[in-house]
Amino acid sequence: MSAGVENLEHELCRALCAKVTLHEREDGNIFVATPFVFPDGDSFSIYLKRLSSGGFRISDMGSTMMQLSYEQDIDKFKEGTRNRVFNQILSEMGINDEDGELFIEIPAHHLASSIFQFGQAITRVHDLTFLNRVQVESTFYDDLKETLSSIVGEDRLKTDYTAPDIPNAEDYRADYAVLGARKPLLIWGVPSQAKARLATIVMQHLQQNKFQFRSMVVYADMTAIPRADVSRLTTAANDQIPSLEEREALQNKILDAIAA
Amino acid sequence: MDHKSLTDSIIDRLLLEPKLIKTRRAKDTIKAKHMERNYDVSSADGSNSYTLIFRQSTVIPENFSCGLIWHANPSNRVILTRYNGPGHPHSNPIEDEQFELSCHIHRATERYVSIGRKAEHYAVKTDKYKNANDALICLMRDCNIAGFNISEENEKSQTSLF
Repeated sequence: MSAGVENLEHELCRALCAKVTLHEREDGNIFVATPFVFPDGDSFSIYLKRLSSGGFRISDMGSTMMQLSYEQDIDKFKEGTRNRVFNQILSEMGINDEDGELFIEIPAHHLASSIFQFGQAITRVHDLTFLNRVQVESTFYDDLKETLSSIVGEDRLKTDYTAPDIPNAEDYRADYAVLGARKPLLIWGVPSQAKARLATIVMQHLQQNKFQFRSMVVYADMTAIPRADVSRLTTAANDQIPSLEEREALQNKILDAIAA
Repeated sequence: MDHKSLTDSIIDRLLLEPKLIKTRRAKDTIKAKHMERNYDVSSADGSNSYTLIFRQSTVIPENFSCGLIWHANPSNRVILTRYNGPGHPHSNPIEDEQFELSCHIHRATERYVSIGRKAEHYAVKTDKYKNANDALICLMRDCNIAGFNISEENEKSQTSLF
């Protein structure tokens, strides 16, 4: 390492150290002030507590969720796509969630790297606020298309399918169609209540006009759709898949449908 | 109105216009180790809607925040101000200043909006309150919010939390 880079490293380390301060609290926790900040300029709340094992518990004491609650209904983090991504982040970062308190328990010699890891985890959890309804739906359709393509091949999959010889067909489209079988398999992705209702209406219109097809609904999260809407779709559709996580079931049903 | 077109004079007008709490009894909900309560608020002339929020950690007494959120339109809400406890440091990048564990008041500013930051990023240290209950009273007074005696209701919640 050249002398210039060595000096730079020394300067950088000194500056980073200056940005980390500890504050002892009466409750036995130590508040760790770091350069990590939320978008509103408030620093992350990171607390340390000595464990009897000699290691440390690093915790946010629930402050991240409280910060998110200013503008979000944090119950949404327990549902659907947000919940899936939230759990994935915690799992990847090795973070535990105990009733909204995020924490990690580590041996003493991992303290510095774990503080950074914890800060990174809070950043990623906070970024879930960008996952709004429109983006969640958009991600769902991207994932659905990718899954369907991998099952039937891009050549057989048609997007935004318009049935031939049907009145006002342009207004009654299917999200996807798998062609090449005796009857086309029409597939609707359903990420929301509104889409559940639209899919029901489109299927009923095609059925009333004697169009011959098999129908399938793939939900983003079937449990998030009101029961009455699911019930109407159950009556209208041949097959339903509760979520994209049921990939094997989706594949089996598609292969059965196009073999029929 | 889009929040990007917020100016300091509009922010001042919104903060200072007379307001009324419409929620007579707001519900305390414990979620994720904090207590939250929201009040529906409207301007006295009915032209603007707001939400007054109250948050108090159930494990760290100095972690609290009371805020006023303006409903700019059905899909766009802007935090105009937040009265925070001393539970964490805060930094103002434009002013290049940081303060350690002190109560501080966030306030929406045109200069932070114009550079794409959160409207309420800027904050100033304060010694006007020491706990969540007093912070809420301060906020209501500063933002011209009337309706009912919120402090009595708050005293009960505070007592039950700590």
